[in-house]
Amino acid sequence: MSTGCERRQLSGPCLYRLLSGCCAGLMLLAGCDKAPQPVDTHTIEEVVLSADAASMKAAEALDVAGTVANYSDDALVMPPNHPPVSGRQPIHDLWAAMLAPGTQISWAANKVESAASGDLVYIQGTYSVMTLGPDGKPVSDDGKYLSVWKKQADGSWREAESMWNSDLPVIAPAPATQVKSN
Amino acid sequence: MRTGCERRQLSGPGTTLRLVFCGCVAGLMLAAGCNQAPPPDTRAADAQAITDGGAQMLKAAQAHDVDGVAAAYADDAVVMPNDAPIATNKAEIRAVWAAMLAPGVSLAWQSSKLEVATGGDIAYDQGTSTLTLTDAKGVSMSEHGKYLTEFKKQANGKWMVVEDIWNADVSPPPPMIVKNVR
Repeated sequence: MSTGCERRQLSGPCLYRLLSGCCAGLMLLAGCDKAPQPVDTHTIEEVVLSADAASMKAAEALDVAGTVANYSDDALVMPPNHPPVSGRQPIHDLWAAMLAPGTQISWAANKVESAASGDLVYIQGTYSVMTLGPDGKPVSDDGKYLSVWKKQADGSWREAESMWNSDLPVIAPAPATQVKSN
Repeated sequence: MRTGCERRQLSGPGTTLRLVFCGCVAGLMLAAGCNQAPPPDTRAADAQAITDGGAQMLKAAQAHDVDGVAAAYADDAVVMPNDAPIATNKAEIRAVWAAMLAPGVSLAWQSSKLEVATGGDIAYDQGTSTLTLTDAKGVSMSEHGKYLTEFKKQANGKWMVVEDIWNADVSPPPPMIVKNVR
């Protein structure tokens, strides 16, 4: 592109053009640092899925501290057949009870979605758990979960809301008389 | 802000003209480059729209209007009822609510927390619920629980439920266990 400023013409009309161009470029840069940065929601979703998977790996290993590491300070955990739990220690205690010795647990995300603004993500998935009953026999349960993750001030992602429930109908214990009749 | 166009950096005749021209060009560039201003913060209006929609849904549930409740869900919504399999289409969602709103059931819920992503496209609502079952003899029992609901603003601007999960705070008492098995 010809600027009309060839041959070292650094005065008069040439200076005028150069200065104008320079000034416009500066203004363009200065004014546009306030424009929204494009949010890479795909990468955000990958980051949050990885964090959820890391919690799962810890739970598989019955590592309570690792399992709860991704909860935010103000997280609310809502287990079935149990009141909501908030606070670091109560959430830790809840998971300690769930990850009793002999427990086998796993979960996997079915769906993840980030807000376009990149500050809120939800994950929906399914879980499978096998615990040992009071008689030492395995009791299994399958279910589903929904969790809300929020970007923290330091840029990290933390789970702020977590709820799950069973796929299986609640079965009334068989009356003792029926058990004996068999 | 320094524009690079201060008077002292220019010399020679026509300085004022140059400044004016430079300012004009800079202003044009600023306007052209920054037309991607941050979107307006619509969160207050979004929260109100979601609250209004929730009130409408609750009214339908209390009137045992299954279609009215189902109308709150997006076409790709997922509903995770307590102690029952996941519902992933409108017919299944309708069946979940038809079973839930059985005769003798009275349902109520109340939001505890409603949060909209800054971009105004995704939101979640967390709250408490009470399901009261009155049998033929007029005996009532209540089950307290909690819910977590994800909303997404649709292409038409309406907020619809995309994910919905709930569970009970305690194990159901025997009469409700029978109800659930049915």
